[in-house]
Amino acid sequence: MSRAVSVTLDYVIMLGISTIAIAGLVTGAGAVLDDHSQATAQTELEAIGETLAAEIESLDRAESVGTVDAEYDLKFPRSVAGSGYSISLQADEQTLELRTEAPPTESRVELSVDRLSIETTTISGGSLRLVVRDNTLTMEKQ
Amino acid sequence: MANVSQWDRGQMLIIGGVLLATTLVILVLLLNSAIYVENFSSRGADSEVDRTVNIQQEIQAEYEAIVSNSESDEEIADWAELNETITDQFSLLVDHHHQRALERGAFLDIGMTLERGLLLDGYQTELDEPVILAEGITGSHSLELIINLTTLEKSTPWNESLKFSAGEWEMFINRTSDEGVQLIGADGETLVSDGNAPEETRIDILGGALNDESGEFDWSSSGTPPTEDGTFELTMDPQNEAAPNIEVSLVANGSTVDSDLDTASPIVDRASLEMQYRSGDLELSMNSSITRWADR
Repeated sequence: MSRAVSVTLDYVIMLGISTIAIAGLVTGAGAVLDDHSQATAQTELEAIGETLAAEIESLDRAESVGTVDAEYDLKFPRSVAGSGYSISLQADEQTLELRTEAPPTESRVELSVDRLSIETTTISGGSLRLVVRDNTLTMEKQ
Repeated sequence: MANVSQWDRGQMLIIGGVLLATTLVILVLLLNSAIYVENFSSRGADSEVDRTVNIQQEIQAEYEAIVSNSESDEEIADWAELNETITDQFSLLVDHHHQRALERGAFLDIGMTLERGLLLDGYQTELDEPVILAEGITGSHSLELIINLTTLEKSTPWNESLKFSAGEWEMFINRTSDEGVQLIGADGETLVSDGNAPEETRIDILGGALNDESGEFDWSSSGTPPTEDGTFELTMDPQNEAAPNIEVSLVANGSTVDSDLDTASPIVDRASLEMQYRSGDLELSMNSSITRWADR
């Protein structure tokens, strides 16, 4: 078969096939990475939300033992899946909402807080401080 | 002539290398995500606040044990000595927890004050502070103070001695398991003596009114209003190991006056604990109190 085509054509065909194969791989891997990135962002937001909720609930439980004043510094990643995110503490619904813009992802964690009053706050993701004063919980950016 | 088979092998190597690299990158990302999530999920079980609360609860339980042991120590004679013993032992307990916290790189200190008081509607009142028994009784021509004491279950022999005072007036009630009940006036005169020492004693102490000019009780059945604003304040002060339930009522002009002390008011010991905890990430102060009926 090699004898039926010129060396130049053989070279061009091989180069073309290689280019198409690599382009296909890159495109496919990119799509896989995008999906994975969104899934990772979702998982990370859930993990951060659950961790933060657990710490808030532990401060609430502390109120059952006595009157508590506290400043609690918590370290979280500044970004998830390469993107910044926001953390919202919602007093009315007693929830934590975490969002990223790109990829558009949202995670919502229910809070079980019986003793503390919650102050609605939204901050950007990263290190934060939970403050309990006069039976009220607030969240501050560090 | 070019060697075509070598080109084929080269391209296959490139393609294979790219595939391998892509696979590795995806594997690394997946592994990284899994480790990250696992780290976060395991952090929740190790909350520093929960650890601090556990320490506080542990100290409270140990405090209860100290009080219980001290109360059963027959060599401790009175409330002052009991207070001192509990405070000393509590200091040792705090030192122990302070050292344990230092080993973890944290600072912990707990202050404790022990007070004896009356529990009125769930709130503690200092024993040496007068309790307002009635207001707005101006014009009462007849006042009767009724004190109902119920001895708490305790080992014998027991001895309760309470001083009641209102203004300049004062009276002592002594109750012992051996000699029964005695009412003693301020001048030391025994007014009433009942050797039966019943478990529940209802005593009509006064039949008169407080003279707002002299500040003394008029023991006759008529008198002037107790104070200008008609407020009747009563102070109850245990003299030794007294720890009965106290129920006090005031009868003005033949009608019982509403009072916070209408309900049984046990003498209680209350320990106020103030914990300070500081570590790298957490700064927490916690105030709690333990109220228990005074056993002696």
